[in-house]
Amino acid sequence: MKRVLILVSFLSLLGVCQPGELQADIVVIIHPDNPVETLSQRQVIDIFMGREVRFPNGATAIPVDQAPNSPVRERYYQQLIGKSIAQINAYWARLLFTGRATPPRVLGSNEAVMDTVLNNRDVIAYIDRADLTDQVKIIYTLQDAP
Amino acid sequence: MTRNLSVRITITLIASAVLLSLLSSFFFYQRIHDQQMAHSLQLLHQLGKTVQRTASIAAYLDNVEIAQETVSGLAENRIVGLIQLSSYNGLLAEYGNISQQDQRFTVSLELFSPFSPTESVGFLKIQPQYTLLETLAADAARERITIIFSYTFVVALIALASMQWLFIRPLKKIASQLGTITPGHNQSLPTPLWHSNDEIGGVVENINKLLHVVDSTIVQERNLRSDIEHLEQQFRMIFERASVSIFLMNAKGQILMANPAFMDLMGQTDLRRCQHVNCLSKIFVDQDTVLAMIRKTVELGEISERDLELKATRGSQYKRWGHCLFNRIRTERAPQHSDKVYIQGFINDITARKTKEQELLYQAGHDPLTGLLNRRASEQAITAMLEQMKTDTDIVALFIIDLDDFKPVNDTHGHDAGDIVLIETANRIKSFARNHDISSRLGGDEFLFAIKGPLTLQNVEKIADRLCKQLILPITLSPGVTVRVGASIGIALSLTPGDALKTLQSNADKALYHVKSQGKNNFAIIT
Repeated sequence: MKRVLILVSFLSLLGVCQPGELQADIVVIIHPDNPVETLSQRQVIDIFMGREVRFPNGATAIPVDQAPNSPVRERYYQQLIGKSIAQINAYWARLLFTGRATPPRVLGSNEAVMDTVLNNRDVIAYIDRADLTDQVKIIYTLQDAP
Repeated sequence: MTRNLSVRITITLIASAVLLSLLSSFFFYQRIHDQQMAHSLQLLHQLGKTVQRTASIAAYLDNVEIAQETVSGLAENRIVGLIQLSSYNGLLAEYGNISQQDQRFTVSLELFSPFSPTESVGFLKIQPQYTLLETLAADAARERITIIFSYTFVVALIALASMQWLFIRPLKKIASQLGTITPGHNQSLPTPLWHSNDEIGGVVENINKLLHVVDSTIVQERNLRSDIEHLEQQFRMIFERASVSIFLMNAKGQILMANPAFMDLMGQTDLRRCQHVNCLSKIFVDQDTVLAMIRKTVELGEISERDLELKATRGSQYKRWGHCLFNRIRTERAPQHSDKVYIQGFINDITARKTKEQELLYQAGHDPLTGLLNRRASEQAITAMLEQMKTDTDIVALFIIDLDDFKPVNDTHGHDAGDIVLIETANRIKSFARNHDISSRLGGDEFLFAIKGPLTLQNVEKIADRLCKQLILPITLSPGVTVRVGASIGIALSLTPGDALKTLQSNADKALYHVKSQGKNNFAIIT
């Protein structure tokens, strides 16, 4: 078993691993009272990348981000839109000076994220399924192998 | 002008250069222009590509600020005429005026979502500043054409210069040097510097070979000519200075060519006056003989020669004689044609020889003192006379005359007186003689007289009687001194032809002897 772990780690270093067995899915969550039941990938992208500021039902959507260097953030953007954190940062940097769009608010930890979601029914966030609690509503689950 | 090689080459080269430049301009201008246009459009496309990512973001977010920033960035490029950046929600930013643009050159890029490559979010449309592109393309084409022109002309000039330097200049030099060369003076062309191993050197070498051949030919020709001149001079000396008349005439007897001696003989100075038919015969006494000789020579090809008497020239009564020789010559070209038969003739003046001959002949047959025939000649003449006698009518009478008292005269008055007597006697006998009669001095004081004709005995007696009477007449030796000699005459008659001379002579001698014995100054006849 130990030998298999080493092998998998090695493969993951090479970037060819299928991390599903070791890492849990990332889920997009909202306040349980929010009437939105589910979102498409595009809808999730549009909200997180600043194009859309509302849920499909017209309610305001406030996206929040994980800690800038957290592995979950990196995995999230990689799986959602196939881009690295550097690319995402460059995207937001470009938009910063227009004043028209602002990047999601950054929260320091999973606990902060969970707190924010539970405290504001407009907030939309993401989290590792492993860190999930039952109080939030899952509206999108990222497929591991896009 | 057109003979000048360098001018022709210059014209040809310049014309070729112009033609080539024009042709290349014609072919290249549009090509370069189109290439330049395509290049510009590609540039436009690349510009679009450069801003595509930013434009996509602008279209994705419908972000006017980014859109305008993008468009104004693009507008910095002066080849861009019109830019439109639009999302599906409408136009985000625009630059330029669409109305004057050519739709054909529009670059239109579809913009996709930065996060979903399949999702189209808008369009970026760029149109060029068409007139500027046109100007740029035309400028580039013109520049290239100018370069081609200049290049062609430079090459043409270099070609011209090298042609002039390497080819025309040495050629001109050779031509002018060749112009100063006189064949036959063993001159040659110098090989032009730097051209000893090329074609020009080869031409000079061949010209020199040719000049050498011409020179040696001229020298040979010159030597030959001088030989011929020398020979001709010698022939002229033979021909023109010859004392013999030499001439050439055709079969009709027209003189074609003659030497001065002949002209003298003809008494003419101009050959043209000697060209009538048979003119040659006019200078001869016996023209028929000459014509016969010529005919014989023409027809039989034999050499005919004869001594002929020439007509006396005016103011001279001497007889002249010429030895004529005619020889037929055929030209080798047309031996069958009679017109091509020529007669070569020589006339040698033999008057002196002939005169001498006749003199000798006279002396051989005549007594020098009296001028009568001598014995031998008279015997021949009488023999001929006897042979020519006509059978029935003619008789020949032979008189032998012997002077009676000649010796006393000789003794008393000397030999000169004797000679005077003999001469006077001869003259008296001669005065009896008619044309065909023969009078002769047989020797000493003995004479002969012979006549032929239809004579009777009485006729003969009458002649003999008169002869006796004549001869007894006194002879004057010197003023106041006269002598009488007288003569005895023995006569023999021949009645039949063919009688022998000797018989006649001996009969006459017998008759003379009879007269002498009977007394002198008389005659006797034996029939």
